[in-house]
Amino acid sequence: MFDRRCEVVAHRDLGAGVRLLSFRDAEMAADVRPGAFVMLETRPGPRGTIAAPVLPRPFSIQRVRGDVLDVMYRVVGTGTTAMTELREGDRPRVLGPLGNTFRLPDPGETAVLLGGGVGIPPMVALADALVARDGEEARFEAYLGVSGAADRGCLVGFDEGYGPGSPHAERVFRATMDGSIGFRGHVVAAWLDRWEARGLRPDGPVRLYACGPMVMLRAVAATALERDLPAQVSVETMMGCGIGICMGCVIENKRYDGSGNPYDRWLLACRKGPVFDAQSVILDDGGLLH
Amino acid sequence: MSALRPEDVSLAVDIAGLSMRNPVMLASGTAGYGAEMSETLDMARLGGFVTKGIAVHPWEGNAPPRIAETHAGMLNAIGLQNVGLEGFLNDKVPYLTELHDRGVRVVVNVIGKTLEEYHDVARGLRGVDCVDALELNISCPNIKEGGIQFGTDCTSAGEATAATVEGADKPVWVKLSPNVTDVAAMGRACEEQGAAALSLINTLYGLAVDLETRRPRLSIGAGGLSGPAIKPVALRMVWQVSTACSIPVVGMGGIWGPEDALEFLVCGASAVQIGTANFVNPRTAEECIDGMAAWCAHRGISDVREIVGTLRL
Repeated sequence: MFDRRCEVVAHRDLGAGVRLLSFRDAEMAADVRPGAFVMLETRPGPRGTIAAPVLPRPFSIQRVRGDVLDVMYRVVGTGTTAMTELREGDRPRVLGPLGNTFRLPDPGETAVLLGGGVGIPPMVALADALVARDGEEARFEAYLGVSGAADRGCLVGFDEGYGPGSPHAERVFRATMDGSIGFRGHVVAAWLDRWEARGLRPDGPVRLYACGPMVMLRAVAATALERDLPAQVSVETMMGCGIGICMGCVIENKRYDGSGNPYDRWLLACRKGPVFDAQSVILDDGGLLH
Repeated sequence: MSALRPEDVSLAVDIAGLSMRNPVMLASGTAGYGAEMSETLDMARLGGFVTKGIAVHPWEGNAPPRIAETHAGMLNAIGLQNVGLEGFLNDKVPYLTELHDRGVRVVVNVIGKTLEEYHDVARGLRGVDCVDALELNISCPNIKEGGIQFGTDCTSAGEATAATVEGADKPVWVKLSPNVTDVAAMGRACEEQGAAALSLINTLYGLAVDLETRRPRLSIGAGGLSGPAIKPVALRMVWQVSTACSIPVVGMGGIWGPEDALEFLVCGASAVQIGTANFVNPRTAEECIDGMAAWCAHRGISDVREIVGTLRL
């Protein structure tokens, strides 16, 4: 974990409020594992001043390119609005990499990646890790959902990493709610359509990975449970510090045994997560996450 | 004025007989049990460290959402989630002993729902060598019973202080709530019942609303406001309490850097605690220590204690 001011090297507007922020830090980049996140200062104020918004914000690392790290975000509130003002050469404070990592599939297993909207980045990181490990033999299929064509910026990680010409391109499936790109419907429906309606389930054991809105993660968890498939989810919660001291980011442990240790009931998403077994936690944000 | 180097400035302070190498501590509930911060802050540089509140038995804390950002601050309603006395003694004391042995004063924040519980935690901490003092928390707004009720009535505050002092073999500091009409009277009541020092302020009771859903942004409704938004209130209360009481005051509330910390000293605090800033910049405490020395050196002040209580009225 590093606590640094990192130079912004690019900040792309991908449309519909979706943006890709790239910053440089060689040591941080070398330390990233798929599923990791950073806490990012949304507006780099002069030292000692009170930048508004006050709290840093958590973002999954989408891709590491040499010594550059990419995070994708959507402008939804005060923090992300402030972030839009970051320019090349700015040096926001970055704390990371933080959190745990996905358990990668065993040899012979196929990874099924399910990403929704700005939840797609950890799936990019995971695909990149699988390709780094197994090269062209990497066994994964990705189902990526966005609301519609206007929102296709969320797909940038897969479009640029696994687009036409990539040996993995034909295993990347897109879905939109309005049908403007790929399958019409949500991402779990796209996945089940391919596997069950069209009988195109890959041979051998599979392992599911998902990141997206809680409603999507609940659907993934329920579907995985019905089919007895192992599934990991990366959750987003209201996070204040990223290092386990504000105690804000908790998610409830579905398997809490009443041991009396509250740290077993309320799991810190920043330290015990953000990746959890899909059946182990209650996937509910109270509808209050911005 | 002779030129001083920062390293020539004495930052050492004394809180009711407890010497500290500098006046900077981490506030309860904003730095876990210490080990959580050790990756991001050189903990051994601290003057002192205050643990997350400890109750007789573990408390589960509240359901999320537990935090919400506000203008120049944040609300929290963690609910004093803690491992309980036994868990503390078994799992947390080893790291705190290490910290204590490196010269950092370790203060255990004590929470309870009844006078007996306060007393029992204090008793349970007897003979624990790494504990230098207790900080009695009578001011947390986020639990249904205990805490705040003791912190908003002079008689109850005095009783809680007496119960804790009776159980303890260490100095007892009392952490005061700002959610009162007359904070100085609260301080005097605690002093009369044996408090060795007073720390203030805890969070201000506040509410944040999600307009779209018309629901509170915290699961339990209202919560505790902290951060730079509350600093003027904190300074005013530190000034009032330090004027009205003869025991030392430890100030906190929105300290973001060395100048903020020094302002608390000017208003009468002998030491300070860093809280919410830890979430934003985990190295705030170190920056305060270095910055306070530099500020004093630049002005030819060789001992930081010279500025304590020097507010010019």
